[in-house]
Amino acid sequence: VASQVPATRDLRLLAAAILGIAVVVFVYTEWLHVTNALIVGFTFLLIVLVVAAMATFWAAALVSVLAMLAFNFFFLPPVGTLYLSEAENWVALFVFLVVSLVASNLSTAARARAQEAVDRAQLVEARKAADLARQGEELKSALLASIAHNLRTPLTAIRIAASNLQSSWLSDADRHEQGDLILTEVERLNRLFQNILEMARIDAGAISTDLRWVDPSEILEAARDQVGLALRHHNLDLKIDSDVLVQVDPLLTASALTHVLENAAQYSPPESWIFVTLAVSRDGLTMGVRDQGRGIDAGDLPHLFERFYRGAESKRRVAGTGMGLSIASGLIAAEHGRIWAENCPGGGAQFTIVIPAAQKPSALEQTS
Amino acid sequence: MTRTAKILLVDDEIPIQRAVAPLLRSRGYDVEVAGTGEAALKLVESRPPDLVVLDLGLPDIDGTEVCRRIRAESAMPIIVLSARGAERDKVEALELGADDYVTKPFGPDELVARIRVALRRVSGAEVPSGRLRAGDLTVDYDRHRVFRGAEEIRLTPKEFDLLALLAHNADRVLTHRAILKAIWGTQAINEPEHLWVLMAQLRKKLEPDPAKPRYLISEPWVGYRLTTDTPD
Repeated sequence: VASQVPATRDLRLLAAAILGIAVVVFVYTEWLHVTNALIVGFTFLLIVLVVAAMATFWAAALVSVLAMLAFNFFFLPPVGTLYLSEAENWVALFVFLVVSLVASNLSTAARARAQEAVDRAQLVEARKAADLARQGEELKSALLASIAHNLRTPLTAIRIAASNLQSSWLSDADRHEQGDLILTEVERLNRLFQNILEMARIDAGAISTDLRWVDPSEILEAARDQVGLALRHHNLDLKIDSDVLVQVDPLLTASALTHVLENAAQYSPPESWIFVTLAVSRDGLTMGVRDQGRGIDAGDLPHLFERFYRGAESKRRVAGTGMGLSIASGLIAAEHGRIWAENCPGGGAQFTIVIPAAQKPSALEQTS
Repeated sequence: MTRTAKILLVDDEIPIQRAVAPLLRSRGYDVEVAGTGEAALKLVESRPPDLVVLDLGLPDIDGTEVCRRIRAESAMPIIVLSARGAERDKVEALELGADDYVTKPFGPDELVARIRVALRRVSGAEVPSGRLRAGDLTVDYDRHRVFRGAEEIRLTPKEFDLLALLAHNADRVLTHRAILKAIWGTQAINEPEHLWVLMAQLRKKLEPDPAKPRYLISEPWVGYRLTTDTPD
């Protein structure tokens, strides 16, 4: 079927070309009385080129020969015969034939190359789509694995603690302890749920920024609040080096800082220090979080903010979802900011967030 | 039980420790807790428990490896905790000598029931009395006869072997490979078709409704269990 379609198209073009040649002959001889070989030659060449641009080389070649015969018969003296009186006209005819054949060849070759390019582009597109689909599948299964893994422990603990609470043997202290366990695990589930929602919003591109003038310390307060129990075994050292207001989205900024703080708490030993610095400069709002953990393996550094990426070593040691840092980087990207991580010379990991922000002196400062 | 049984709980997840330890204490067991495989192995050696509840996902040593090392030293029952979907790990642990498994998230009764069965078996309280009763099912090992209520059920020798094997390990899961090896020999362990066919025949004769087995319970991807705890 595929080979028949061009063949019928060639035949149609051939017929159209013959008609075209006939029209040219009629118009030039009977009506316009054009006899200049140059004009006639170029007109025929035009027909040949149109055919070559649309049909195969062989159709174009056939049209070239027909055009040459018509050229000879109707326009080159003696007119009305295929015989040529002047040697010069033989040359003209020959040149016409060669030019139209070469042009036909060039035209069809160029078309073939263009088609190849289109095919290649389509192939690349198809491959890209397949890659995306595969990555999507991988992300989906990573999401499911992460959720399944992070639901299992809290659900088991809550189920058993709740049934423990129902039994009558519990002392008051035990009862309190089992209640506390349930609350802690419910909070863990709540954070997991929030993470999934935030991730979905980032994916949907549904993060809109709501810029407001805030004191950087408010952001820190909000983040500490959100981190809640995750930081209860760590010491926080806060340093705020700013007395101006910045214009950022306070909720997004605090949420991003929360994820980085949680990450620091997860990957550093209990009772160690977490150093938080906030500063405002021409770059905007800069927030730093440094921990006293074992730092980041060189192999993990480039992938740290990829979704569900978990360091080979940390996978074994620390329970985590692989969502926090990727969410942080998604939120910060929505604010046109940057986040990066590095190892400190003295040990531990340092995360830095920079969010471009306008600044102005605080009202307190102005009145005092 | 004359003496309080001592259980060693091995799990690195603090919430699980905080919930399961009081649960087991409330059922009258002594409980010790270990958060790593290394700590567990040390405790098994210094103060051997009567039973180990072992999470397969430990931070330091692979849970199945802990299982193998405990079994190399001692016959104490081991019940493994593992995730749904980690069937390969369960089978491996069972083949390395674990007695049973519970899938997370599990409920309190599930775990306690498994512990009770495992302890009962080692305490020898009800072992070979010559017959087994499960619901209205009676297996008479000595005379190779099986009854459901008063009605005798005729089994082929192979069918009886399979039933007797599961009955001797009542309430305990046996892996497909373990059953294949016991009934057909080592050369059959990779030919589970034998087992599917024989189990279907046995269920047809034994089960009131073979489509919804009451006695011969499938543990998907892992093995079979004959349960004495039949719902009525």
